[in-house]
Amino acid sequence: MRAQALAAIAAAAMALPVHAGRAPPPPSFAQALAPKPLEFPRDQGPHPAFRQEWWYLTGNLDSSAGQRFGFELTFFRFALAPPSASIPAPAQPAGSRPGAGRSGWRTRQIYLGHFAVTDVSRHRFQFAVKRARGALGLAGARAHPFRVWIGNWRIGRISAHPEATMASRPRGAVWRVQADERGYVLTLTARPLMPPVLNGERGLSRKSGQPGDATYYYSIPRVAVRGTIVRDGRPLQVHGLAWLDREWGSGGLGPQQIGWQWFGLQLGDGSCLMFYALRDRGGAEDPYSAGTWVDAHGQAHPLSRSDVRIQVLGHWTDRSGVRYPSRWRLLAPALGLDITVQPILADQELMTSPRYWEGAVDVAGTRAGRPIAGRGYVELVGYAGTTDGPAGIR
Amino acid sequence: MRAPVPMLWAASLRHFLRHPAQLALALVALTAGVATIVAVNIATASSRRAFELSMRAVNGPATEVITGGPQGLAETLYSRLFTGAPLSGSPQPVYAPVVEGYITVRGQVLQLVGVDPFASAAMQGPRQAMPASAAGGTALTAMRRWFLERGAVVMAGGTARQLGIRVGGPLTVSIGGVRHTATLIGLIRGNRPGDATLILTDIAQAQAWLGLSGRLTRIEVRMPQGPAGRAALAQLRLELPPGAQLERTAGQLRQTLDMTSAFSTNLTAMSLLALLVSALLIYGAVSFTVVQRRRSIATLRALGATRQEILTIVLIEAATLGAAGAGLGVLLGLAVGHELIRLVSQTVNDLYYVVAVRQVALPAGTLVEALGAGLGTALAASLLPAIEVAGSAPQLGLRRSVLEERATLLARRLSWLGLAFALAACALIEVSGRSVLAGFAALFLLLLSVAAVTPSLLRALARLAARALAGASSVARLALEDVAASLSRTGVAVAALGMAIAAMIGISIMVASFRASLRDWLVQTMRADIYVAAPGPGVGRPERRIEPAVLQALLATPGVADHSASRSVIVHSPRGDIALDALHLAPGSYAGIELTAGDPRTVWRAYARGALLLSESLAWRLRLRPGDRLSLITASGPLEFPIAGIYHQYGSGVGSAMVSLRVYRRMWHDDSVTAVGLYLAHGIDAAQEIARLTAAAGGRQALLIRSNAQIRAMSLQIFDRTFVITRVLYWLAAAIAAIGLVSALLAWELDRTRELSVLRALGLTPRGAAALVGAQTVFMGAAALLAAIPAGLIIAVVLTKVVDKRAFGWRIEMHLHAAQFTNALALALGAALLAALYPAWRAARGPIAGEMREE
Repeated sequence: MRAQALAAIAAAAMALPVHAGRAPPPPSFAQALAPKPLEFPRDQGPHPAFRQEWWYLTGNLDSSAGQRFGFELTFFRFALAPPSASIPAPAQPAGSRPGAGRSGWRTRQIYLGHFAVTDVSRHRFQFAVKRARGALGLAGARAHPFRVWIGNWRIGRISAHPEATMASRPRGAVWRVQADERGYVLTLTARPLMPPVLNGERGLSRKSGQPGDATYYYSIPRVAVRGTIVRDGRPLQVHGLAWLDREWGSGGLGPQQIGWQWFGLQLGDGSCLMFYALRDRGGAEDPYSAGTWVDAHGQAHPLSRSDVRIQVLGHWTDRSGVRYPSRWRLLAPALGLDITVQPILADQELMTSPRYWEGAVDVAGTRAGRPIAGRGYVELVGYAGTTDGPAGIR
Repeated sequence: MRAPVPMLWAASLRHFLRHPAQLALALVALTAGVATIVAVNIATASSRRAFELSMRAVNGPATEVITGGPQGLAETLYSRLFTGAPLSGSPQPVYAPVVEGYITVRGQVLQLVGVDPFASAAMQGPRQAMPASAAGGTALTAMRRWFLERGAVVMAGGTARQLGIRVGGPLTVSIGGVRHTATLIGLIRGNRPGDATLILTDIAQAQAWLGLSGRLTRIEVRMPQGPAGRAALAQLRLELPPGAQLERTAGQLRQTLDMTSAFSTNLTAMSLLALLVSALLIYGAVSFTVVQRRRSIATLRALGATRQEILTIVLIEAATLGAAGAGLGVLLGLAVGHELIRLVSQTVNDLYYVVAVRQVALPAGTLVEALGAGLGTALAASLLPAIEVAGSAPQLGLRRSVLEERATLLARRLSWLGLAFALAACALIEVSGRSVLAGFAALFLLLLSVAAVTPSLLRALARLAARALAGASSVARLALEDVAASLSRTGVAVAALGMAIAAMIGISIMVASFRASLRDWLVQTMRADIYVAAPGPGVGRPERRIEPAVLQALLATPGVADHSASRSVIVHSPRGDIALDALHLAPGSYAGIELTAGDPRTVWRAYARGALLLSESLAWRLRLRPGDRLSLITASGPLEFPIAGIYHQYGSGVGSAMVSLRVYRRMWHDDSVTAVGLYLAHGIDAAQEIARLTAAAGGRQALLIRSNAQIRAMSLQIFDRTFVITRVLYWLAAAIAAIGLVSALLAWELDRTRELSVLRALGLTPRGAAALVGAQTVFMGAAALLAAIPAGLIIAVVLTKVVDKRAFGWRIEMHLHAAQFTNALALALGAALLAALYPAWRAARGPIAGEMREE
């Protein structure tokens, strides 16, 4: 899910030292209207005809000394105009050079990165933001060999066989993941343990009744990661399990939708649960909430709103008074699932604009009456007020 | 018995209440002196401040800056630094690319700054993120327009208002004579003073407009503090390509501002001259008020007032005068400063760097300095008369003859002191080598010596004239004897006038000589018939270039027989930035370059092979001679260039180096041309050819196309503009002197109305009385002039041969002309006549009996 990309990109606009003037007419982007076959590695790469897109890697890590970490490394792409749209140009005065001079800095693609580390033993949650235009190699994405980056933050393939594709040889693909922020440097090798799982209707994920409010959405719920976290200058060997979400589209949320809770949980029996609950202005759960159950054999089963029931068991309030849900009970009777989800640290809020909570969680409960445990990530969007929220961006 | 202290004060107050004109004139002199200092301070500080602000407005927190040569840096350096940064948990350097140039919008010069908003935001720091504008939607719109719309720019609200541009409205911008259409998509957030001269745009747009595709003007760097920063800095140095320079922002700023230091020193010296003149006048005024009150002071002494008390009273009076003068001077200085800012920034723009002053900077020290100058001047000037009056015995104070005897003695001693000053000035020039400051100090010593000698000269002249006229007219003899006998009151005013006139003559001769030398030089240097240049503000700006297609068309225009071409840029060197003129010389152009050092037979061969020629100023400043080497940072790193010769050139005083255009292109990878000199075929009319060339430019670029004569006239115009401030300041000093003379003469004449009444009673006609007074004052003016003329000549020599040579390395031939003295003559006689008017009128009209009754 994670459509706060829009809001995040708008936040990137805050970097401009400008009060805006009048708006030009919106150009048209490609729309996610119907399912279409996703191909790999093509669909690992960017889709510039769509307005926004993201690569979202979250994971839980353990150091060899038993210390617990969570990490989030996200790349958002945002197109300011469709590739085909003509750009308004002022009329040139007599005696001027029309269209004089070229520049490699001209681009319609903007990239935004979020990197966060949850350090349980130090009770520390730290995040950083990086922004750049998709020009001059400052930031970008490509399918083959797969790579997405902003500056020196990146996720990219390091397989010795560049012709190997993820779909055909998923176990052969190895990525390098790297990012840094004050106090933490993360370098991991990541190996997908399963092929991509298509969410929604064969990869088409509808967010509202509006035809354009949809994305193409797939996940790789199990990615084995291994590497080092350098904390305050000291390297720690870490390993763990990560989750990759890929989503692109040109729409947003419906006018009544203000946010969501997203769960991506990896359970001990090899199964995985992805579920997002959209929230309406009134606080009610939106009918377009949905998810995917991936069984231990890697088989995906779509979930609708009625398949999963979410009870909020506790809350956490940040220093400015924003109140987030902080403990949940998830019930999926059809799957025989009854679990509680508990953040490993209460404060995993990214004080970006807009603010959101994205944190590592522990899972405990039963499946078909037998105890089950797991880990995962939860995302909470739309709690810190709606003025700069996604709905306001459209 | 002792006089109670309040009585002393009452006497003091009563005196000034009875003589308000006296007080007012002393105050005017002091006010003008202090105002000059304040105004000069404000003007120079404001232009410096404006420059600093515009440098800091873009990426304020930058600690270092990476720059390249005239072509800037490859933009790939930035992408390498951004993407190749080592992963690190410690604070890392932040880089922000900038593409910059000057742009003209509706006749006003603005600094076009192309930035990457993401990099600039990172530079500002995460905790200083700019406040969001309205809703997210408008921010997004702004971003879309910023990135996508061709010609999208933003500027400060005040600037937009001043230029009459509304948000959303189109505007035409001109860069190097090429016009582009832009759209004001928004206003700069916040209201920082440095933003007033900026026009911000996306870095892509700036590259396109400035013709800097693939290049950056600079990369600003914010280094973290502490060991992490030092390590990152060392690492960065290793990663820089050849030709790139890393320096601290503070250092870069200082270097640019240093260019104008000689200019600022000049201005400060002129303001000190004004203060010196006013110091003498205050001395005159204070000693006069003391003299006037000699009777009451003597009475007070007789009543038991101690010397200490008298001294205290006189000094406190002076201090009050000083404080009031300082206060008024600051106010007047603020008012005058505004006007002076315009003049100073005009000169700075003509000669050094582009600056648009929008804000008046009042340097913190100025008020203290002004107060100190006012109080100090008043106290120092009144110390001598105060000691004198306090020291005199009670009954002697009653007799004026004693006072005049003392004044005569003092004048004699002063003339010895004047001689000593003059000798000291000579010695100072001899031993101080290259110091500009010492040159000015010598100049002031000379001026003081003129002031010191003038009273004796006045007395001697008066007695000489009196003796000569003894047989002819008894009234004339009487008048002149009177002048000789009234040194205590007239001497100082005449001295001040003499000094001001000497300064005026000296400066006039210097400026005129300089101008004549410049004219001769222009005639010699400007060999081509027509000059074509890319217009625009600033010297050595890379965006000033003739479009290649336009250049081709110009050279192909019928009538053009041959051409010289030049590229004027600023290049880095380990010894600071160097203005470089890369020249392709037509055969006819060589004769235009006058070598002052180097063997003319070998210089040009060496030049063709890559040797440099240095202008006199540059050679002087860097202490280089033919045979030495100068290292310049080329596109492939530092390279030692041999120096083949030194040539004669007038310019900004910073000087420039000359290199062959062919060598420049190879070393700096820059094919642009800033200007060309065209030689016309025989029989071609320059005016018609200019029309053809303008047509050939075809509206593609608005070039400056000027004939040889027009260029010369323009150069002289710039020269004149440069010296406007000098003229303003010396007229100010002269005006102070004139006020002083008027005040002193007025007081003197008023004081001796009784004597005149006696003369009238003895049969002097009203007309005769007026003539007497007139003749006296004119004589004093003439005496001041007589003292000033030789002194002015010496000062001119010191200015041209010592001060200008030391400040700029220029060689200036002395050109003397009668016109240089006419101002001085007019001033001396004008001031004297003005001073005579009222007393003469009174002398003629005054009732005889009334004035005598007091006796």
